Amino acid sequence: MKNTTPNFDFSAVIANSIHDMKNSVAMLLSGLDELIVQSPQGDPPVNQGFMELQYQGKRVNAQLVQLLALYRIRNDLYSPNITEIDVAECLEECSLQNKGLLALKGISLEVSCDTDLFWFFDRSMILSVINSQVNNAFKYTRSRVVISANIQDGHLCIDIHDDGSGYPEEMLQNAGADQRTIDMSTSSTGLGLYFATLVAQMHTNKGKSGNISLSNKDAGGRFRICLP
Amino acid sequence: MAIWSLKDEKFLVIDDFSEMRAMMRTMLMSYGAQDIHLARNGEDALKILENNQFSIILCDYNLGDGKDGQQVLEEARYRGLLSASLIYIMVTAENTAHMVMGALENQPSSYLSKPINRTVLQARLDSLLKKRARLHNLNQLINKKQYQQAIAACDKEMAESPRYRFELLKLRTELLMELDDYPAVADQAQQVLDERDIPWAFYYKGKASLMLQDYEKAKEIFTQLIETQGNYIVAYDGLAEAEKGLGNNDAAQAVLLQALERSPKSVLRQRNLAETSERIGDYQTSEKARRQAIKVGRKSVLKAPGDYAGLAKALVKNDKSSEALQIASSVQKEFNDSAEAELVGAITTSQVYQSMGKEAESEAALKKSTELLEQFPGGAPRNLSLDVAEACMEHGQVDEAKELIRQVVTEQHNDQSVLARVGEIFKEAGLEEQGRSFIETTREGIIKINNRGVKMASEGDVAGSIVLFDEALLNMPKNTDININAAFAFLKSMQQNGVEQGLLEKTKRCLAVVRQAGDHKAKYQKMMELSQGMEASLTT
Repeated sequence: MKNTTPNFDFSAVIANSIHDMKNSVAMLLSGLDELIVQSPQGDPPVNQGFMELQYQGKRVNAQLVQLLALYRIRNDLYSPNITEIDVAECLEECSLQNKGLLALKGISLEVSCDTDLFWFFDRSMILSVINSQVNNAFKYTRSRVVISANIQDGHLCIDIHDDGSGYPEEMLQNAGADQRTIDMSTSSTGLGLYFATLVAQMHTNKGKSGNISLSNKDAGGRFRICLP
Repeated sequence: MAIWSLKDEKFLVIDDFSEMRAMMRTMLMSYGAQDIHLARNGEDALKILENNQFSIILCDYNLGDGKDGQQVLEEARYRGLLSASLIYIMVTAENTAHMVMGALENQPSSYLSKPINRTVLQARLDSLLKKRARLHNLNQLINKKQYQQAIAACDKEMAESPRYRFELLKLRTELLMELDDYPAVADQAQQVLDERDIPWAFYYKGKASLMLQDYEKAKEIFTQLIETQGNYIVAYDGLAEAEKGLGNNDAAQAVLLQALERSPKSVLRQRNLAETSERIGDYQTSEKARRQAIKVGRKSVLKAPGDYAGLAKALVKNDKSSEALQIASSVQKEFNDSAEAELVGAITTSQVYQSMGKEAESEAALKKSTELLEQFPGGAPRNLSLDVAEACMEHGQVDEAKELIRQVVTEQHNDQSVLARVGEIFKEAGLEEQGRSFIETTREGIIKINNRGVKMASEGDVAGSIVLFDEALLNMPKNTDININAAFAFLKSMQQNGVEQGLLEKTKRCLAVVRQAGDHKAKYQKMMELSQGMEASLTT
């Protein structure tokens, strides 16, 4: 029997569920953090186990955060909260949230940014984007991730550079493209890039808007988001 | 590396969940914090703030029923309970930004999202403490309300380092607003906008236009701001003011209704809606709005007897006279028998009886009002004097009304809204022409005295001007023009003849009157500085 209730807004139901799940996952990750702190160091199989749990947990969290944000943006419930941000501090926060996990796999995370660099953007949105990309690096990086920021051509460019094997050709083609061409059915990376693109485009100044780009540079992949 | 410690900070943690309060306290203590107060809701927090100074406040946005975190911040600021250097961290359940609901000058220092990650908390506090250290001098000047010097301090900071540049520019703009220097505000905002499309710059540009009464421009700016940044609720308030300035009260009402849909918990906005609705005769809406203003304002410092009077008025118009009477008689108690509440209660009661056709009861209440007015400690507020004057007119007591009006006009001879209202009162009583000439004569008298006094002082007869102003001050002690010009004369005399304690005291009293009214801000600042300098020279 079909559900013919009029005015039944399923997307609102989904949004509420996502919100709920997001909170649960945050609690999960928090509990996991505690376990890791309390467990004896240096037991390889256990460490491996924890690593995988954290990685997956963060993936789920990142996706839920993005879905919720997308829902809000698409339903006009969200206006970017653009404020003056201490960029170095923002990148440090990202580093704090990810270094531990990356270290478990022997990957170093560095931040390179002028401490006097201030720019205008929606801190929580940009942090979501960067966090999600850095978390992805967990799978693809060999030993080193560098997050850097500088001004180019009147834009703030934040780069996430890993030393893995770089992006596959199709991704390089499609990145930064119109949302309609991004294939979201393939993997979560699709959602991540779609989200990043939308967030970048939400940032405008004097007729210019933000964008993202992917490239394979200096042995490794580089994700770049530019904000006017 | 030095151990990072919070031991010298004084914390207030506000959260409606005891587990959260406990968790925050544990986290803070793990970083060395020793002085931590806890509060479970806005009302408790404000009570604690009345008697304690804090350096850092962590407040959950959502505090159950009653005030939310933003409202706590606003009320505490409004009541002067917070230092300019206070760090206020709003803890939110969402990690997406929410609406910029409060006044732009009252934003939290930072937002943190739940669940709170201890390393993020540490990093954030570290950053905020560094900023506080950096802006210490500037904040001290702001605390002392030395706005000119604070602006100079801003400029110095910006010259020394690019850090916090736009935040300093915003602060500078707000300081110019405090000084009522609207052309400078507009210029400053435009300079910022030439660099970047920043919402707050648009907002202040709009505000400056409003204050300079360029309502078309203000309307344009605020409309654009709402379109591009729909979460700036104050932009709606600005647009409503612009519409009102253009005489479009219906449009203003519509804008306020939109804003209230998104942000209903604002006493001032509800009140604004009520007043605007009254102006267009929509008493249904004004009744609802007044009820909301009363409800939201119940435990707020923004609570005002006027909302009860307004509700009673709307109820009368909506044929609910008996409830109106109840409201009128409840005002006094709602405000702990304050003189103002008692007076408002009496006037409102008189008006309600009048509308019910009960002449005798109405006159009795009016008589009580007039008595209360005469006995009002420190002199009655002018709007209440005019309310009584209006009621007297309605009862045919023209001479009594005129005397009250004369007193008000004498104190506020340049205030357009006062003069407009007075004009209305005479018009309602069918005495439009008489009213006009009465106002003119009264005003002329004061303007003459002022001009003469200023002329005397600048032409060298300082002693003569002092005699003139001394007498004027006896007759119209609250007139800000007289007070500021008297202060000028006193200061001039002391510059010529040396500082003298008696004159200095008189100067300070005059300046206090001007400060209280918020008029002549730039002149006030200059004279205040002169006066303080003279005071210092007496003690050295």
